[in-house]
Amino acid sequence: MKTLTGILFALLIATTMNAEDAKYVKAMEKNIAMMDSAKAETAGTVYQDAYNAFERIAAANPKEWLPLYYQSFCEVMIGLQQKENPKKDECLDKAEALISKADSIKPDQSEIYVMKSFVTSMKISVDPQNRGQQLGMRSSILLGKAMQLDPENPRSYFLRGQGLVYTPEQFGGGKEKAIPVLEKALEKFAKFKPSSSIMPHWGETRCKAALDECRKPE
Amino acid sequence: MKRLIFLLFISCAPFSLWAQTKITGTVTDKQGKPVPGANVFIKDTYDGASSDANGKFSFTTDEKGEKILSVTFLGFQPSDQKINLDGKEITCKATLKEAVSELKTVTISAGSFEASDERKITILRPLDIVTTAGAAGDIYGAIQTLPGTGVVGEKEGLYVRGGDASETKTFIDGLLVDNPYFSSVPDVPQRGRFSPFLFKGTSFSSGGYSAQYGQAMSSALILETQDMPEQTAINAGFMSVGGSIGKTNRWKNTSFGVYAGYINLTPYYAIFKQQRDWSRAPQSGNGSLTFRHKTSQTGILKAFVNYAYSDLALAFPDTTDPSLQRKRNFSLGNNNVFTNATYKEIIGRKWTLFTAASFSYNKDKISIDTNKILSTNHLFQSRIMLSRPFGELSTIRFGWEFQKPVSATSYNQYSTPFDETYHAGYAEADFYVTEKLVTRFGGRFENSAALNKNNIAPRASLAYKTGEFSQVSFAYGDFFQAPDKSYLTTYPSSGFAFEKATHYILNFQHVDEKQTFRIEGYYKKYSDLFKLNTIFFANGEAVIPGNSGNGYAKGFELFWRDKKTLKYGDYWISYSFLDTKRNYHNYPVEATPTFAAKHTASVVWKYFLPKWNTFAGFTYVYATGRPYFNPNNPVFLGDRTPDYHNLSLNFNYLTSIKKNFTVLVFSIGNVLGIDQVFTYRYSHDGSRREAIGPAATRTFFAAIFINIGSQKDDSDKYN
Repeated sequence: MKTLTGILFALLIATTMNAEDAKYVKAMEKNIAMMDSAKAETAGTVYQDAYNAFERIAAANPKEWLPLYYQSFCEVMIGLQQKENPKKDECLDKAEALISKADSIKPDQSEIYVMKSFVTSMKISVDPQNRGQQLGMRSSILLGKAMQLDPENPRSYFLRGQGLVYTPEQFGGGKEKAIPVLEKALEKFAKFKPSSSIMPHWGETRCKAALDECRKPE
Repeated sequence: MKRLIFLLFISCAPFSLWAQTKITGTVTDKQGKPVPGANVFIKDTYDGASSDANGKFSFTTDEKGEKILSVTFLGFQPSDQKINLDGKEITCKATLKEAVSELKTVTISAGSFEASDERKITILRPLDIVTTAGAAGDIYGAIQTLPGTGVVGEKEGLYVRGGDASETKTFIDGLLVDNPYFSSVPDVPQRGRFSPFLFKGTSFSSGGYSAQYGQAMSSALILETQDMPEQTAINAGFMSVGGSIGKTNRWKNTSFGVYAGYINLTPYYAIFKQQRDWSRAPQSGNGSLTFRHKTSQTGILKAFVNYAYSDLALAFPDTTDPSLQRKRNFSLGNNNVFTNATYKEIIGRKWTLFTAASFSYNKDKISIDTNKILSTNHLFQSRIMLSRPFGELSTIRFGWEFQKPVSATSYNQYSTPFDETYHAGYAEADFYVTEKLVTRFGGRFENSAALNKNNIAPRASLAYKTGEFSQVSFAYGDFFQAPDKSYLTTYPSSGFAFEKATHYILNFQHVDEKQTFRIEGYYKKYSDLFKLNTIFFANGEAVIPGNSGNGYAKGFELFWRDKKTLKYGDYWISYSFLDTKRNYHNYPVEATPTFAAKHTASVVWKYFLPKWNTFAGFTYVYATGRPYFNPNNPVFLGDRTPDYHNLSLNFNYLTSIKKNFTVLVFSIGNVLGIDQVFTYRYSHDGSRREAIGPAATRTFFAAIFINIGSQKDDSDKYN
């Protein structure tokens, strides 16, 4: 009897735990889909809704890094829609804090370094004259680290290419330089299989758009 | 067994058993305006919703019983309220309080100009210093474009609001810099010793500053050194007058930097004619080491060592010769060491500890004709400060400072030693009554063994935010300073006291991201200044030294900076009005001192040409004439020099050489070649005079700076 109780009890815990997991994955999938559906005209509220949903999931699952990762991504997107620079900075600071928290939960993730670099390059875009040199270097180091951790992660190549588009030719940037890197990123996107349904998979469409923009004759 | 099955049953189906609860409501801010996009949810569950454009929200939950409803939104403090979920619809109202943010919080601004790398909206950034025309990459040069500073071309130093150069002190990481400029040369102003690239923040205070700083009656220039460098890199510079090379190594928690520079003006002086009669053009070298170590998540240890030498010789007119034709030969050899180490750490949950120590050494070997002057200064100092926040925004800090200067000056065979032990303690609180109103009260206690005197200096400031971007600020304080050590050693055991200045400053400013407007008025009262009183007897006269000098300075200043009107353009305009008189040192009567001009104005203009990747800029400085000593005029300091005009241009071209960030710099001082007269020097008998102007009519400077990131782009490896 005692063993039976023990087995049943273990089973009970296992099923409830799986239920928790399934609930987590389902909620994540739903919100990632919502985020992916964001269109230019609805982006404002969609990213805020997704951000809020990820915040709730993160609060209930303090050991998971992915909700924080997506929260950070949404916050960058919200930041980009702000009109005033101090407001943009407020969002980007929050995004940076979130991704740092994700990093402390799960260190050495290529995706986390990509996000860190993404946040940093968006900070540059707020005030390129004053921040370009120092933050540009930091953003580049972070991408290097992301590539080192996972050479097959297409998003690091995409961001590298994107960065080159906005770097003046005098500093080794420009559209010409960006094309091969973005092409490489697209190749990697084609081969890329996220290890689970809730792992990051964004960027391919943006990457294509960036490449088309580069190829457009001036 | 039955019980077990029951247990299993309820664990699988709890949700369908209980009814859902609907929660609706609105989220508003303190003013009652709706807050859209806020996150409203039941704590530790996924159940929640965002507020809509009208601040309304609605969602259902399967949770049951007493729970916490949380509301969060960026820029606001999270709010929690208890709710009871029993299936009946709940309507809630949530009022969010705005989070404390730097942008919305008032800061004490009277008397201070800050340049910082950090997010804060500051008036000047470190890059501004390097790109200001006429500053020639010198921190002090850039500070001179700010209101409150005077244009004194014949001598180095910051002359702030009617104060002489000795009333401004430079602090690096809280530690006094004894010799911030290269050693003085007759009629040739010297640059600051330290490169602006060493510092992440510069704060220039023209009065009313914190009780943390003392022994400066007029002004404090507070420099904060860089933290860890981003990565390993090499910096090289080639200038028309020399070169420099530096390398920083960065490891995970440690960095180490080496720097060496050499300057020789011989080739430059051979090409461009100089007004001074150089027999050995200045040459100088310096080397520095910087060390940074993160001792923990929050702790950082910084150390800095700088060594410099310089050598030069020139001839200047002998004023004892009525024709002013005879020259005296001046030569200078200088050795200077500055070291400091600081450690900062958060202790426990609230306290921040800052400790610092510094040793500096300076030796000037001067010869004037056959006379030899040897002066050596040692300064050891240390500082400790504890601070902690209280309430939401307020801070309290207190600290102790110790300085031990030991020096000796010998003139031929005569030597005068000087030895001082100085202690100071201070306490200060920044108390926020509300986010919009801050008061600062503090005091400083000082003790000087050389004077055998104590003083207590009260300081107080207040600032009130009048609008989103504007505020008014007031500052008051007593500032003490020991008389110059040359007087203390010339008149030993005469029983001197501290010199004293009292400041009253009223400031209004409007600072948004792109534009700054600032107006400041002040009154400064000097008392107990060092003075030589001449007493006449029937059969002669005697000079009695004492603290009977006094004076005042009052005026107002305007500052306007605009980065908005011109795309890629940026300019600032400063204007200072100064009314000052004093009776000190050897003055026979009260007079406006030689370093004070009534009106000073400057315009700094910078323009970025994206197509050329070039910053072009000019600086124009205007000042009305300053008093000079004319022995033939019965009115003491009754004459004025002609007005001063200077237009400087500079160009910074940004490029890359083999992917390494490179800046080409070219600048010209006094482009228009306007005649500048800083002062006149008379022969002793008053029969002839010579105008003292700049060392050359125009100055030219060209340089190339390369930043070699040795830890190159890792992506190349994977591309």
